[in-house]
Amino acid sequence: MPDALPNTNRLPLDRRRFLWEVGGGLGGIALAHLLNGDGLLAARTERRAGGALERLHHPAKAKRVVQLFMAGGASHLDTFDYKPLLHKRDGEKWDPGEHIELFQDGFGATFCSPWRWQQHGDCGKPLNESVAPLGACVDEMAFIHSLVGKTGVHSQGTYLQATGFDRPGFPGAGAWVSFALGSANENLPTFVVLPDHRGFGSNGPKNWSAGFLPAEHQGTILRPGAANPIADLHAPAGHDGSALRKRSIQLLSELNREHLASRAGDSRLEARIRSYELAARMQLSAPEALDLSGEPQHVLKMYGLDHVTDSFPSEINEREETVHFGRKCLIARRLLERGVRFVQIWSGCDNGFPRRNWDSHEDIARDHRPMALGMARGAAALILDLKQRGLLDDTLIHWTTEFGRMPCAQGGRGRDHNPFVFTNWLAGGGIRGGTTFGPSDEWGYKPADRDHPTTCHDVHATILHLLGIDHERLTVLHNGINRRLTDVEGTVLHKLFA
Amino acid sequence: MRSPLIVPALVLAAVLTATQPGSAIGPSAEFNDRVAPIFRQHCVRCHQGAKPKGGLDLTSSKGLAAGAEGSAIVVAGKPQQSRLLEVVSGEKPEMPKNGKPLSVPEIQVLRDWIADGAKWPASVVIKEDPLDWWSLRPLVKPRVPSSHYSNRSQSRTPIDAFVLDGLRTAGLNASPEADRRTLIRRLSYDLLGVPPDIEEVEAFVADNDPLAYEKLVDRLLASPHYGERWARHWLDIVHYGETHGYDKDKPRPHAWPYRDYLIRAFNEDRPYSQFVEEQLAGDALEADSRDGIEATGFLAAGPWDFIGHAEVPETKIDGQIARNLDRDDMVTTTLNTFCSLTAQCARCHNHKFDPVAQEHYYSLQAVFAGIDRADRAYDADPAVARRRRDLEARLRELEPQQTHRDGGPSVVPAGVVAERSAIVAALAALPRQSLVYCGTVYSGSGAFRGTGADGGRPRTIHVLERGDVHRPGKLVGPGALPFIKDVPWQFQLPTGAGEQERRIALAKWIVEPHNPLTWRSIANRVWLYHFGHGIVDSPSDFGRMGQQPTHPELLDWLAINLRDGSQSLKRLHRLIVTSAAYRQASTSDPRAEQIDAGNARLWRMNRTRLDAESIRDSVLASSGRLDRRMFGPSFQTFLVEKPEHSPHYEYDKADPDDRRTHRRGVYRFLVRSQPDPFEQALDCADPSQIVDKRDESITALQALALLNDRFMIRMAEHLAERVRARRPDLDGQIAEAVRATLQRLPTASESRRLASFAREFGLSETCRLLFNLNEFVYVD
Repeated sequence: MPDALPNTNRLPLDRRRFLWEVGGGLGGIALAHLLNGDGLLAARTERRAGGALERLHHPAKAKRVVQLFMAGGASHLDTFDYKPLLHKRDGEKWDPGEHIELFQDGFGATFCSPWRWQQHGDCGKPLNESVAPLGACVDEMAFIHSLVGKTGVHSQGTYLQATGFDRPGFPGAGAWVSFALGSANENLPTFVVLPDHRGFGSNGPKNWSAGFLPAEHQGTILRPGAANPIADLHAPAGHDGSALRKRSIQLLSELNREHLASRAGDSRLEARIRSYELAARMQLSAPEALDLSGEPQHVLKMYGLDHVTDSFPSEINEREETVHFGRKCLIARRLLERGVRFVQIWSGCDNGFPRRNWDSHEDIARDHRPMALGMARGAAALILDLKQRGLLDDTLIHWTTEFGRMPCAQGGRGRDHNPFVFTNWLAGGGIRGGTTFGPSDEWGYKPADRDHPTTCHDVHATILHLLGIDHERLTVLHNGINRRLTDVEGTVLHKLFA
Repeated sequence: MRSPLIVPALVLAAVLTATQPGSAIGPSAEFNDRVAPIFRQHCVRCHQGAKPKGGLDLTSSKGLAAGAEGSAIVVAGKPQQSRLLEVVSGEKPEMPKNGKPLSVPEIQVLRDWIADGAKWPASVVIKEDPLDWWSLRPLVKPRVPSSHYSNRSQSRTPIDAFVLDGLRTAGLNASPEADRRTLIRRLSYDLLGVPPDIEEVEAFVADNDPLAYEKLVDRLLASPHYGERWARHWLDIVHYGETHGYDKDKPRPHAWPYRDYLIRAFNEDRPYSQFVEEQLAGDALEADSRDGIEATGFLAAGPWDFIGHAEVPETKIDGQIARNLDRDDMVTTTLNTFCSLTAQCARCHNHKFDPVAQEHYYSLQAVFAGIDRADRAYDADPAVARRRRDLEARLRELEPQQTHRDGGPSVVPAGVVAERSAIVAALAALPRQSLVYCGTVYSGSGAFRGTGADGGRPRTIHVLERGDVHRPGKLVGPGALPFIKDVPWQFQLPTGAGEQERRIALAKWIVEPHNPLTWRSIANRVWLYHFGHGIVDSPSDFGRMGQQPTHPELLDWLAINLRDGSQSLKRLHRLIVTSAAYRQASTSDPRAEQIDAGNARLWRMNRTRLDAESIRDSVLASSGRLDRRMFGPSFQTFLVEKPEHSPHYEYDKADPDDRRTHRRGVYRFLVRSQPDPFEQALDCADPSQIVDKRDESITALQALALLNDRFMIRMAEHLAERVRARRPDLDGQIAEAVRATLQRLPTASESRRLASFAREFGLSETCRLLFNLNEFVYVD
């Protein structure tokens, strides 16, 4: 039974937020780790400030999530979903025995992956050469090969996977998690987004907006290496001295408290005073979280960051993918250690040319190989690194994309969109490794069991479940409807659980 | 789904043993008056019919006796053993499943009724009347309560009579009137969205005229900035944006004429009926009128799936889905905006809570089935429009036949040739046409063809089972909702009526005087923007999932007053802001806090945080940079890179000192995919969703934006230069800076500390600090 939470948009502050803010939550909590010099405190001890759920619906297996989003539509057939039949029929006319609805023109022959497949791990999962680095992790991963979308339109597909709805206006999955669980470290945003270095994918920041949830739950963009890794984190040079910063906050606080004295009873005024103190602390903690200079050489090497250059050719290339994706994965690990709840990492941006995302209409070999290798190196390093630190047990990793690609060629070397079946995988907190779930049919065109496909709602329900949240009970009344991440659907995939 | 009522086995045996539900005469009235309304309001939507939820039918004594799938839910005389009470009580009651919990008095009524033997007269059958809901009942003018206060300062308008009545019932008192500086600041932000000049504040504070306040109100309502302020509210509701959103997020360079139309319409105080009609069908009702065309920007204000239309034809499934979602946005925007009704809930299934069936919803889609979102050419000058139309008609008359009957080339008389070339020349000499992005019949090529080639003939619309384009059901024509007595919900249009007649019919249905929703909706929206809370605080949802009015009679009185008067919004504003309720101080009172912490009864005025545009406008005004020129294309706070494919909107690369960007926030170019990060941190409206009330968040990121954004730094420098030019001495400069930002003089202590800060860090850093004060961003 859904128990509707009050729409906090409608209240200046609900009681819980009020108590938390006035009770010193916003100011008092969580700086401890910075001051104590124990940067990893927040992740080890469970803290929940400002979450809408007073208590979890059931014990959690995971406390935090990393979502890897492949913009453009990553081909399941050239990465994780091995289809021997494609190799057998390669070059023959493709006839699945039913109507074929393509998104674009250029219906070509049956088309096998340009690369070889090899089994990995104890589970013997076949992976494509393009994602071979993940071979070391397959015993930690659960593959879902029966994902279905609603349309082959990038925008709608991306919205669907990112927010559970195929149109704008809905909160991203990370915003829901932030809303439900609150922050474990107020000195950093709860939901962090690491966009592709070239730009945004389809829909841009709308994919991680707070929608109708309170604004603080929207994904905060973090740009490693930029002068301001978070927008307006620092003032321009000459306006950012530490004495100035300190005295400004002091005097502001003083004058604001005098203003408050004749306006007692308005918790917002108090909360706003504290927000400046928190801002000052974020100025210290964000750069620290992003600073990779203290990472040992062997860790940098894991992520492919041991010989970094920053100049790359204009076409997609393996080195660039490795460096950028790997760096985001390493930063994600550091953020998770410091209590960030949900990190979303993007690979690929919009559909400009030369191609810079997974939308390989023209040439799978040209785009997918470098993108996949770069992604696989970073993702594998992240899984193994979390594991060696004991964090994989309660960190959930989710790999997704807006749709898959067709078993037939488009124009000879490319593949068109396939919203009828594609792959997701999960790893870490609560997941039974080495699992393969819900096969696609022999072509990889549609699910093998068409009556029981998997949807993003099922995956979202599963992620929430592992976080201790019943997806049907995390609801917010908005414009007449008790909204939830999973719309009116979603079945928890218990078969994936350890 | 599990049964909502699981009765413990123990109770199973005790099926209504003590007394059978009786048929005594006395309790009958008791049941009808007190118990039945509770079941009717909270229970019978699910617990009725052939397959009631949980196997429990709560519409009759028979159903009660049968219990939930055979298990008793009531043990007469024994409330503690009655499952019914158990499921509706407690902190998070199990029932009603999707509705508001029962109130404490309601639960007590049920407890007493059960203790008293749970008597249910056999003749009483409870039926739910779908129209028996506050917002769907006809508007009836309520009596204005007689004033309880002779004190004129507490009861200035009929509004106060209603408010005081509510306060008295709750045991509350009104707050005293706020001081003059507070009042002028409040009024100026509320009506214009910009702060008053310090000179205006000082003159008003010193004004001895007993009508000084009323004169100030009139002056502000006559200001052209009023239209800018209230158009911005309207843009929130209709989710106006200047890019398409979705993939690629292409710009809409011709969206702004709709925004300008709104500013003019508010300033000219357009009667509300006409305001509604113009936005839905101005092109049809006021042909050749600039307002009529530009107003239909309303229909196209929301997002548009460029790829789903421009690259996927309607013959493909994905193309059909995109167009279905596009019409959904038009239906949603129209019904939410004008009727405060969430009709969109019926896209996939009949509305679960309000009387909107799928057939009604798809009939509303049929209203918009002939149009698309596109640029439309028009003449801003009606005389030119008429001349162009006449010339084009004449030119068509002179069109030669394609071929002669014998197949040979036609011979055109010399006179005709001359006239034709004269007309072509005359057409070419007419002023260039303007463009507006609006809802219109579109003639295109490729995948996005529109209905132009079919003369605008509307697409056929079917009820879609579960909203799925693969599952078309019944074919529907245009219509609205069955809410108005004696007005059929299906439009009776003459055969051959075009798509325009459909939109006209919907507009007429909305502004029909007996439409119970329209007038309540707009009266409530206006009230909400003045007070920060609505009388109904879910301004776009007056249905059963929305909030209920705190002052239902007041709302109806305001609605009727608006409808039956000149339909003037300015008159409504004046009525509201001259009330004593509005003029109260916003200071708190511990005793009143205990009774009504949310201030639902209005025992004080609400303190409000400035919205994103007002903060930016105020910073510009304080620093002497605000460019008050009105209208025209939007200014851009970003640079566009890679425009040829998916434009990158680069905010970091724009110059915050670019004077073109120093106009009021209502003229800012609104990118859907990438909102302006500075304004977003301040909770600006998200043009991808209908925003009927701004969020008011308090975050560290917001503090960082106001402290560190390059715009803030630069404006602080301008303010410093401005005050330096006025006063030679530091103390004087500090005083001027405080006057410019807070519209008051600093206290001696403030002055001392600010001067000391300025000596250490400079005057502009001091100005930057002033912009960050709570006092700067809150209005008492």
